[in-house]
Amino acid sequence: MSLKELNAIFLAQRANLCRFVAARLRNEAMAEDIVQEVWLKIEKSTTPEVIDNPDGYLFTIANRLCLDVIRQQKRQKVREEKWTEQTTTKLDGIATSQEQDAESMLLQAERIRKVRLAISKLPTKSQQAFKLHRMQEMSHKEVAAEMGISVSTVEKHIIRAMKELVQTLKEDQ
Amino acid sequence: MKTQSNTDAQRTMQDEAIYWHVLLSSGRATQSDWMAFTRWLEENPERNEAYDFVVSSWEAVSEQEVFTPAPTTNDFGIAYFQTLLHKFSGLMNTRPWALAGGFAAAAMIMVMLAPTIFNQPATYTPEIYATNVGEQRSITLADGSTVVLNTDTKIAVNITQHARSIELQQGQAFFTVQHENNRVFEVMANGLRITDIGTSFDVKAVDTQTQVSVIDGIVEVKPKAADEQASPVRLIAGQQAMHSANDNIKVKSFDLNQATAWQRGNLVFKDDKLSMVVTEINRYFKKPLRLADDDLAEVLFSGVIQMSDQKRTVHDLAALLSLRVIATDDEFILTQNPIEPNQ
Repeated sequence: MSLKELNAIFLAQRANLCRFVAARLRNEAMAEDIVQEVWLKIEKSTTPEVIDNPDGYLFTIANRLCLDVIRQQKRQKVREEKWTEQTTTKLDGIATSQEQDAESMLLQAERIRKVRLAISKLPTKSQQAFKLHRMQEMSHKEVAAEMGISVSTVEKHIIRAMKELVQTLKEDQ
Repeated sequence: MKTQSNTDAQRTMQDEAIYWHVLLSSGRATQSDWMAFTRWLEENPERNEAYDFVVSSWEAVSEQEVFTPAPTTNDFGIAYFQTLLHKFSGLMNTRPWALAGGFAAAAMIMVMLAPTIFNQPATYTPEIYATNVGEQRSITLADGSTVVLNTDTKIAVNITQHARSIELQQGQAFFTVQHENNRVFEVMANGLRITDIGTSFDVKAVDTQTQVSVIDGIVEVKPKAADEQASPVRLIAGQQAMHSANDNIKVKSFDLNQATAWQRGNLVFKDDKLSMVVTEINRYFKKPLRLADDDLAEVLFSGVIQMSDQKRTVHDLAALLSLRVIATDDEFILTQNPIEPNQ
């Protein structure tokens, strides 16, 4: 596929991409800009020759950009809250943030322990599929070939592992 | 009201979000899948947060530790080594260890064989970028990193889903790397393997000499021949490593301005032997410059030379050293003689 062909697909999908971004960000005003950014990003860094699912590719990039925006908004919010907290209670900024770091590191270690435990309780095949997919970044298809099972079975294993993972982290909140 | 345990409805939403995440990251999601996901999001604003939580959870387990509890089975040992190998290899496209079966011993053999396997040519064809003598060129790679190629330079680029590997086959290149947690950025030059930890750096490979200069951030260098266990040499901004065949890596500090001057069309020298200055200048021009006699080779030179046009460059150098230039059809000669013999 050439960049020109990919652009034609992008233009054809533009309205759908906008609708997706608007739904994902809950913000229609930003959608146009983000979708424009999708194309800029592709133009800058894509090798169109290797894309075999162009529609999916466009949505995946849009999804990633949305995630960046969401993360940024969250960080901004946290910063503002922290600032308010610190200025109103006049905490010693440096000491406090160091204490928080140590605390969050402990929490992090505890979380890792819980996640480890949850994963170790999964059936061996689910563990294996999840590990190959997550840690070695193999696609579902590659995991299927590696384990000698079908792609849909791989996905069942991954969904199962994800359910455990998400539930564990949710309870930890 | 907020409770600790999820309600059934929340649990359902969570499971649906997981399903969407798995489908959408499978690589086979179609346009209608994405639109179905869009409608699912539109129906209930809370679903966005459920999906965000799933994606964050997914990202949270990227840490090695999650998958490395006390190894209880051989099977686990293999998985761990696979992960390690995968991390270190960078170049691997095939996975020969898949054949290794469930024996930890096999994994150990793989570790020992790793350097040989990794040096084998990969099955995909790398992209080649090159410059002619006197040419400079800037390129942006598929991952957004940039490379500026200096004169007479050739690189082979291999960017895959799992690895970013560049071979500097000759010349000099300046890398500005887009940091990624999951894909190391690796440069091979002569006998040296340079691994980036998020940075910009310059690599020069002339004959068997390799010079790595770190402008920003940190890189790690290691002779290619060194075994996988050997620890690399870590360079920080302002440090430069020199390596030649069968030699240890020598690290010293360097002048940032000097190492990057070529990108501004300048060469900067500081107490460098004239023989080295001439070699350096000759990289940029087809017509060779040489010294009339050996005594000149040891003369030390400090100064900035502009690389615009060869005639001017050579005359500038001569003027700074109070030397004379003899230009013939085939070469430029630097000489001490103030007067032509026949004058």
